[in-house]
Amino acid sequence: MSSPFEWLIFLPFAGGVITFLLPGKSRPWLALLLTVGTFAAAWWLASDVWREGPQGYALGGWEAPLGINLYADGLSALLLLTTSAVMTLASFYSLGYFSREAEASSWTEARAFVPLWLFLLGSLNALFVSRDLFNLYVALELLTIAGVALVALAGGATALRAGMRYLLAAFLASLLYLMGVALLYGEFGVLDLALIAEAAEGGTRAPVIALAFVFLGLGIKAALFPFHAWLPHAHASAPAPVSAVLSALVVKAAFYVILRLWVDVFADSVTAPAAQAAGALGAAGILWGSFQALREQRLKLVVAHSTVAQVGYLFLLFPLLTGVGEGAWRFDAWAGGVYHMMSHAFAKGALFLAAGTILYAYGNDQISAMRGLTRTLPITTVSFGIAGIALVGLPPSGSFIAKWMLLTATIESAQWWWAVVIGAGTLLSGAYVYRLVSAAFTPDTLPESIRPVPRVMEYASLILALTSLGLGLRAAEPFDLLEVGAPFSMIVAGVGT
Amino acid sequence: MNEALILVPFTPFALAVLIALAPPLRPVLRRLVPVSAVPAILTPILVGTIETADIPWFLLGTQVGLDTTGQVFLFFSGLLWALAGWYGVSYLAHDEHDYRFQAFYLLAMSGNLGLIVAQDLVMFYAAFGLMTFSSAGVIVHDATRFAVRATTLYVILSIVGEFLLLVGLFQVAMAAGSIAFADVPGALAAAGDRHITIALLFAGFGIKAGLPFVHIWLPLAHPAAPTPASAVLSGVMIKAGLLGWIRFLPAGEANFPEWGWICIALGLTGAFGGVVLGLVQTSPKANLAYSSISQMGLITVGLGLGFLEAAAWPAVLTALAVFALHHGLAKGTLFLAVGVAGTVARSEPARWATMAGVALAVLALAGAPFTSGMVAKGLLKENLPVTGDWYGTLSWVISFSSVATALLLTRFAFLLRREMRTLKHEPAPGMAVPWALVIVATASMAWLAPVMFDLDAAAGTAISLPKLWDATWPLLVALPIAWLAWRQRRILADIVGSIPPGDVSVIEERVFRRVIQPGTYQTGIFVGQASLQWNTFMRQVAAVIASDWAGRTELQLASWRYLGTILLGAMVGFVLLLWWTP
Amino acid sequence: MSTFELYAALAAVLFAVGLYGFFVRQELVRKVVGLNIIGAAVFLLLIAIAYRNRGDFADPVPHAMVLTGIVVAVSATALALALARRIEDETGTRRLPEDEESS
Repeated sequence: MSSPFEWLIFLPFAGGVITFLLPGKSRPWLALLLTVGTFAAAWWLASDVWREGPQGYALGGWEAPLGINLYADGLSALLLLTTSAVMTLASFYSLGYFSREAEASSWTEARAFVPLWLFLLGSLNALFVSRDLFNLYVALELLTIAGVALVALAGGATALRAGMRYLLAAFLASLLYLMGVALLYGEFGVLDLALIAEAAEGGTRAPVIALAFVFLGLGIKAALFPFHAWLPHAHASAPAPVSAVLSALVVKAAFYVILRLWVDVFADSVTAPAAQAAGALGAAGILWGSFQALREQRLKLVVAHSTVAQVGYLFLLFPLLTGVGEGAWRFDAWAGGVYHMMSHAFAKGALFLAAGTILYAYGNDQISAMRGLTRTLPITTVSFGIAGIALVGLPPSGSFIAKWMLLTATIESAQWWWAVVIGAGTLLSGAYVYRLVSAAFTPDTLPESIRPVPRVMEYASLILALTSLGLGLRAAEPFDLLEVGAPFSMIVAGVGT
Repeated sequence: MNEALILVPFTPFALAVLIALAPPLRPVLRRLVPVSAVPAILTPILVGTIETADIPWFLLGTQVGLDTTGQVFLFFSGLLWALAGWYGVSYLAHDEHDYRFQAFYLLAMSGNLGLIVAQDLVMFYAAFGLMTFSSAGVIVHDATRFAVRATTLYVILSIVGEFLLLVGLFQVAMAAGSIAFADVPGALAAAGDRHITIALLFAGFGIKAGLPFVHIWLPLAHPAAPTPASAVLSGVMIKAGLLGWIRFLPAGEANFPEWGWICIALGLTGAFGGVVLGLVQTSPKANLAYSSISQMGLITVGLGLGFLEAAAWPAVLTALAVFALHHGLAKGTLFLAVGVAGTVARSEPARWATMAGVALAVLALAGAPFTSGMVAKGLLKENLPVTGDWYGTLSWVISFSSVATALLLTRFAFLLRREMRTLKHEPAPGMAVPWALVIVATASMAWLAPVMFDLDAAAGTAISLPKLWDATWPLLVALPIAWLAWRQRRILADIVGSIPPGDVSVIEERVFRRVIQPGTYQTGIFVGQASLQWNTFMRQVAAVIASDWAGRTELQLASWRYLGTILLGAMVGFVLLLWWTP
Repeated sequence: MSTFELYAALAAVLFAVGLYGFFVRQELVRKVVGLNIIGAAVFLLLIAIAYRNRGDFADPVPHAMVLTGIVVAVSATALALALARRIEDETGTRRLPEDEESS
């Protein structure tokens, strides 16, 4: 096996099958080994992309249209790196979370957890390197099945219902998407994204109904307002590492497909009014999600509602890209949006892991019960604070840079109303993050008994949080990588420097 | 090589990360806290000004450099961070969470030094944010009710400030088409909507600088923090607001008489209002915090002079830099003295030595002859525009502020003497030595700095008989008043303590508490509590947040029938929108 | 009406029937059946497209898609049914609470 593509797909899927057969105790360690291996493969692919430009690979030597073609540019490489980094740290975390000291039920959880976890990783990888519409469908569906099963692992009526709701919404979304794919195939006769992009150039063959199916289906999976209602409980009732990965990566995967199709394939078919509508739903999501987060009394639900809000920011991209003429801001907006995906992935991963640690130690995650956290779990408090900074988009986090670039794009493309939304969203997120942090700092009588927390859990969330901060401190390399094979004119990011 | 300047803020940052991540090394690392500020002290002395250099890999591609103003700021900031850090090593020696304090202290230091060497807007803002939010961790350190309350207020105002700044800086960057400092003030002076932008930046940095009306966090937060942190908060971090004004506002680009008068009016309000409110405080640290507000008022007056007369700006800038240095060191001396006062109860000579050090700093702040205060105030007065008949008046008013300061700080000295009676800390050379060094710096630096950094400060350092008289008479006025007040202290006792630290905030804070305090707005409880409040508006906000409709709507969105309807609507709408090409 | 159009129209009708069942029926198993009817509609359309694109033989690509699609749909259905059973075991009802409230 001579290509990183093969390792990216083979390692997790093969691992998923093998761990089913292995005795339970060795499973988490093998999972950890394989996620680290996947990270290495992602790094390998990213360095190839960095040095040589976008990489393609025909699986088994079969070229399109019959074979399956894989492809990675800077965007794919960055998201693959993000995926394997977040999942590696979450795997470390799960070593402690499902450890032997934990009660028996969670130990059985852990046995089923590992194979599903690896399937999830494999389908994320497959999604980010897929280059045809149907492959994307398969990857999305695998992702859904693995994700739902992981949510339901927690057991109990709440988690089962949440998983069911998630499955129904995502299943429906997949079928809508597949309907769109069928119609697109009827129109173009090919599935390869590059070939379709060629045929759709100029927008003369705009398959309107097919696009509506595709984008709505993906919108449901990406939890776009008002199709987000399945998300908060699904993400909040899952085991902690699962919540982290669902919010950090799985939701982004659906958005990635939307972005690919909107920008790379159907750029000439989408219209300005549609873009404004997508932006408006994103804006509504920002405000509604933040407002709900402000109301919640449970920590994990606050964090989950905030995912709805943060996904809203991503949809603000479209009005900045479409129907506003040509200009440097289109690259700024696109790159800023992608950077927000990454930074949020690390920050949200850290928040959910930290929330999981608190739940693990305190036995519940009521915000009012978080008092005195600075004394009981100082490292978790710090990661909470840092991830909170990144979530609000305060400097020097990566989200700050992302928001700065989005704001630049709104002003330069003369659409100040989106800037108002970004500002309002920032204030609201500041309010709910402050609510959590101040609860942690409230000096109060400590709970009588606290379950001791394995160190690895605390450090995994801290490293994730620090990464989201590091993305802000050192943004040059990610942006260079992002430029490889990127759409839009390559005017380097930044405000006119 | 110039890029190496980034190491100045990076050193404390790296140490903070080490302290956080390597518990076994903490006993060694905590001793390095003062050392990490040494590059900041030495760079301006040994290297001098540094050409702006690009650092493409940091943030969005950033620039660092050191101009003359930056040199002075970096020097005195580094000095106070180092000495207060040294002091803190002993001060917190018996605190089991001292490493937490050290980590936040170092992060705030890193932010403060970073914003001084920054030569572009993004790095300045990022460093400013790092400093602001890290210092919240320092203020809350003691975790008393008072500290939590102070931190809450501080964080709320800081978020408001950061937000104003973000919008303002954004407009600046748009107007300049660049984020480099070289382009910013000029572009802002010419921009069409400059007044809005100036207002945003003035208010945003004003929160940090203790501008009247947005000062309310300051008399709570500065005293709440452990003493070494109070010293840097009041001595150095407050000056970051001033540096922000200097870097971004277009003073010196053109005459802006309206902003000049706004600054002078607000500055004088702060200068005298701070004294009045400070005099009735009963805690020495609160007294000092109000004194800082008062001194920052004088600095705001200086900024106003720059707005009034663009031609005078270079000289005003020098005056502001020297004033910042003078006030930073003298205020650092006084804050650190509060901790030292807790160690001297057993020794009469030590009490006298402490009082002597305090006296020196008090005299300096009151602008007594041969002190740094005389240099700083002299420079400020020298730059009063000679045109206009209000010149003489303003000069008098500034001298009167010295009277007020002398009174306020005399009161501080009396409050401090009370502290000396009880032993709070064993005598610690680790506190006394750095404190003595700050005193030495206070006495000497205003005279040395112009030479070291090649400032045109002849107007301040020159000594003449009229100037000496000008510096002396406010003290001569203040002394009898202070004596009278001392004699009548029983009568005055009623007034003292009548206004709690934080003045107007005490009312506002009730409102904040209702909104933000965690866990209180569980639906029923919150509405219940709010209905007892007189404030109808807050009751409405509470009702909206806690109300049922939002929950009901979310539930409806979750129901499949609604989803089906919405989905069909969205489908039709989206098809139409894709068809419609305007 | 050509053969292709006839099948395509039938697919549209099936799709609508499936959607109706999915959104309006409250029992989880019925919802899952609704989803499978939608799936059948999509597969029918794909087969019709394969027929329309025929040369010497029918277009093989949609056939491959349908085969894979059926596998995926079966797995998702199995998971959904398993979840529905567990929910019934845990809560005694095969409905989700939000539907019960709105009925």
